This record gives sequence, C-alpha cells and structure tokens, in this order.
Amino acid sequence: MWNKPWSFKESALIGGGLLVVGTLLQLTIGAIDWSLLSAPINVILLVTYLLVLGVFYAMRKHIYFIAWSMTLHAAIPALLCGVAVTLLMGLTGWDEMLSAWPFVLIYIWLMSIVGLIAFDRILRLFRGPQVASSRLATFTSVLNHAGLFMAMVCGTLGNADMQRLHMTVKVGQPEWRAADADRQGLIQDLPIAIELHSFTIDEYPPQYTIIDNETGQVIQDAPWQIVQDTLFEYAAPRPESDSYVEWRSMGACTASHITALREVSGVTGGSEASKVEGWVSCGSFMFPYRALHLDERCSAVMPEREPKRYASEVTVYSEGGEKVDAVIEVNHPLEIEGWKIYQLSYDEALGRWSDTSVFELVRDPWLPWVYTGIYMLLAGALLTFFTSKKKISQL
Amino acid sequence: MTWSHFPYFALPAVLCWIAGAWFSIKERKAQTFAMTALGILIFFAYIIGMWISLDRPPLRTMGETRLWYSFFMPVAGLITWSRWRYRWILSFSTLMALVFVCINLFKPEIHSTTLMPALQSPWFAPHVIVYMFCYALFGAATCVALFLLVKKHTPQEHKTSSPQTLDLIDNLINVGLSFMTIGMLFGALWAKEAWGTYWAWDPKETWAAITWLCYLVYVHARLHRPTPARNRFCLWFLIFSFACLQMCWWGINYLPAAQGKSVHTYNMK
Repeated sequence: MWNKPWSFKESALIGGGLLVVGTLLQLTIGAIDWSLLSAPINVILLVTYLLVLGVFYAMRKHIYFIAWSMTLHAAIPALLCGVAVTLLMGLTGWDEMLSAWPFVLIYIWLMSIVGLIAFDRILRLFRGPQVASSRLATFTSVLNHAGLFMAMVCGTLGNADMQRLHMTVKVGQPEWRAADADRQGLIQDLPIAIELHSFTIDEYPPQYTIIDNETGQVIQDAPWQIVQDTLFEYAAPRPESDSYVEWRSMGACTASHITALREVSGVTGGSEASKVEGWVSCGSFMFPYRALHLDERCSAVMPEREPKRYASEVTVYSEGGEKVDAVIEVNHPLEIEGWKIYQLSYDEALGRWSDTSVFELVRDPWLPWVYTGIYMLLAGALLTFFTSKKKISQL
Repeated sequence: MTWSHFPYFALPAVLCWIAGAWFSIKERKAQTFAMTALGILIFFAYIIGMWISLDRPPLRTMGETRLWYSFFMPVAGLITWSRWRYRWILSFSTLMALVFVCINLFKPEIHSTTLMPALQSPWFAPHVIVYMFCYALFGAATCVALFLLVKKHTPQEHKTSSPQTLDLIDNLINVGLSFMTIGMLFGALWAKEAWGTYWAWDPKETWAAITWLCYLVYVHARLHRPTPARNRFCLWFLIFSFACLQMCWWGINYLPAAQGKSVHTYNMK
C-alpha cells in the first residue's frame, strides 16, 4: 500500500482517515456553525478554495497525489464514502449530520475531485484539434462536473447569507417587522412592508365518511351509501333544533342534509329500517361538528374540508417607493427588491375566517449562482441522454 | 372513470403484454410490436380517463404512481426491444408491470380526489412522470443484472453474452440517470417556488441524494477497465442501488427516522 501507482485502497484509506479526523474534530471543537460563514467570509473562502484547486491543478504533474485524485481510483471510493455518510443520515434521520465534521469533510473531498475534473475538462475543451463527438463528450462532462460543483459549493457557502423571515400580517394593519425563522425568532425591521386586504381559503366540496361509533375510526366497507340533498357552504345550527339555516357571517360552518341508504345484499334498500336522513357538519371555531347516527355500529360524518387554495390579497410597499398590488398564493410567490414572499400560514384556529396571514420572506443573494449550476446540470443531463442514445444506435 | 374500472383495462393490457412477450421470444417482430403497443394504449386510456375524472393528474397517491410505473415498464421494454431485439426483455418488463398491477388490484390504497395547494403547480406532472420513467428504466436494468448474476453459473454462455448485456445495462442506467437528474432538479426548482428553498434535506430528498450518488458510483465504476470481479461488483451494487431507490420511493413512509418529518408523504394521514 502507498506504493505507486495508487489504487482504490489508498482512496478508501483517505476516506476512512477523513472520517476519523472528522470525528476527532467533532469531539474536540464541536459541530460546524454555518452562520459564521456569512459575507464576506464565504466570498473569501470561495476565492481561496478556487485558487487552491487551480494551483493544485497546475501542479498535478509534479504532485502525484493530485494526478491520482483525478482518476477513477480516487473518485469511486470517494463517491462510496458520500453514499455511506448520506445513507447514515437517511437511516437515522439525524439532521445534525449537516454540520458534523465527518460528513462535511467527505463532501469537501468529493467536491474537490469534482472541481479538479471540472478544471481539467474546461481546459481540455480549448486544447488542440478534436473530433466533434469527443468534443461534445467533453462539453457534457464540463456541464455535469462544473454544474454540480457550482450548485453544491455556492449553495453551501451561500446558506449563511440566506435570510428566511416569517411575517404575520393582520387585515388592515401594514407590517414591516418579521421574525427570523432560523435564529431564535429575532425580530427585524425590513425595507418592505406588507398590507393585507383579505385572506381567503377555497375548499374542495365536502366529503362524507362512515365512522365507528365507539372508536371513531373510519370504516372503509360500510354498507351505507350517502346522498347529499342540500348543501349550505355557510350555515349555522338552528337553536333547539337538529337542523341548520343558511347564515353568512363570521364563524359559519359547512353543513349538509344527507340521506344514507343501507345496501342489502347488493340491492339499494328502500325500506324504512335501512334509510336514515339528517344533518351533518364539519363545524367551525364557533359551532361544533355534527354526526348523523346511522345504527348502533356507525355514524356518518363530514370530515374537515380539504383546502384547495390559500390566497392573500396584498399591497407591498418598498423603501424605494415601489408599490405593488398582488395576490400571493402557495406556488405563486411575489418577488420584490431581491425578496421572495411566500404564503406560509394563517390563523388555523379561525380556519377560513382567518383575518391573519403569515408570509415567509426569503432573500438569497447566492441563488443566481446556484441556479446557474442547476441549469448546467440540467443541460448536462439532457446531453447525456442524447449522447447515450447515439451510443445505442451505434451498437 | 374510477378505480373500480381498473381491472377492465388492466387485465386486457396485461394479456396484450404477455402476448407481446410471447411473440418476442418466438421472434415475430410485427406481432410483438403490435401487441405490446396495444397493451400500452389500453393502459394509457385508463390513465387519461382517471386524469379527466379526477380533474388532476393521477400522480399523488402511491397507487397512482404505481399506475405510471406499470405503464412505463412496457414502454421502456418496448424501446429497448426495438433498439437491441433482446428476446427476453419484454418478458421482464411485463413481469414487473404485472407485479405493480397486482398490487393495485389487491392492495389499493385510499384514493383521495383532492390535491392540496402545494401540489398545484406546473412542475408537478413533469417532476413525477420523469421520475417514474427513470424508476422503470432502473427496474429493467436491475432485472437484467439479477438475470446475469443468476445465469453466470453457465460459463461458456456467460463469456459470450455478458459484455453485450452489460452494455445494455449501461445504456438503461445512462438514460435513467439523465431522467433522474432532470426529475431531481425539477423538484429543486419547484421546491423553491413552493417552500422557498431548493433543497432542505427532507427525508425524501436525502434518499433521493443517496440514490443519485449510488447510480453515479455505477456509472463511474463502469468507466473503469472492466474485469470479471469489477463487473460482479457493479451488478451487485446495482441491486443495492435499486433497494435504496425503493426506500426513496415508498420505504420512507415506513422508516421510523422519517416519520412526521417529510413534507413528501402526501398519501399518509
């Protein structure tokens, strides 16, 4: 071992060594505090890292270790170490792995190899005459390695500069303060303010299920068929009565009048005993839910309606004097002055009567670099697909 | 169209695929193509019907993703067969499709009709469909790998057919890995729109990373000068990778470490 040429064994030992060193670091100086890496430290680190990799690459003919690092002998065990540490995280569910030295050292090693290969392939693109197909293969390799390198390194280093804030806004009360989602809810003044005009929840039509009277568990194969006769989207129970009236005011619940028919040996029964009708409701923060008793074993209920859309109608003001009217929904964030504003939550106790909307505001100055990496990887994947197709037709 | 109509489409489709597999063993090309394609069309008609009646793409529950898997298996098989004319590939793909059809027939899960707001996105369909196609290709590759590992006891045949069959696995993995990369990155771009972060090490994402790294190991290991020992390592590793992929796909729903942490467990309530 350690006799040139080095092979897989040396790489496996380096991986094992990194895990040992990482464990020792973890035990002595503790986990990595990623927030220490905020600008300008992360920029300095990135420039230094790239310079070191560049110098290493330039000296690859003089230092055996570097030339060997760029071979499959080094890469495959490094990848296997990456699989191993990530697998450990997947099996145990320890998120702390992300700031644990052994995990991070393995990934740094992996990324350094990817970085060196990226340098090599980029330079190879500009070297000497080549056949078109091998130039295309080199280009694909550049996209795959450099893209992964950019996305991973910029994503990791930029993480400390990412701001994630939660802002709770009540209708009619413009808000410009927000709590930091990552750092103990620290309150910050923001250069933007949000005014909430309305918050709405659209819901899917109500559904009906049969539950066991005693356990409350859903019964899948209950012999009852439910027909909805009347539906009030906004209703209130009539006092001293079993019925509901239509009522459009704060706290109204959804209620419907249903008929349950008992299926007797495959035929839908019509006799008195096998037909029950009455009201069911999923309730609201003001009114209780109501079940319809079918027989001694089961009852019909209306589970809480499933949300279809959450939307906040807002006006956003920026310090620069910009004023934007917008509707912010899940999957439709608003972008303004480097911030992205997401619909996050609402007053869940009030449900659809919530007059409060919670937004997540995200600023990620490194995002363009990460996205460049992601798009390079995407292009690389497409090219891999097409070039491997070519290989198919040549067979 | 509901799940109660499923047997009326699934059974004819499976019968067509079995006929196609039979014809391909008998080397009757036109019949092979016609029967397999007919089965695919019948099955696809059911998917379209579900799509229309649910008023959303049928991609949310496990049962629905299995539907796409059973659909893409014969598609991948037919493409591979058209390229290389392996006589047995359609038998494999039919068997795999049949397994997933049977699960949907005998152990269907609750098929909710609603789609929560986070899933209402143009990224939804491409993200899941691309992944399902990749899973189907990896499934086919794993079958071939198992076949080679079992078959290697007959040495004289092993020598002649193996390198070529390994090339087949390589192509399946290369194409599958491209699709997996695209699916994963679509997921990242979508997550940024829906949750504000492109990668959050959610259990599903962690397992997606593990699976992706595994197939990268295979691709790089196959770039190396092949020896019988390395080939065997690659084949075994492929089976290990496929096991990780199962964990990513549905295993995390049952993994204690992932309980209550993943935002990806839409079908569990």
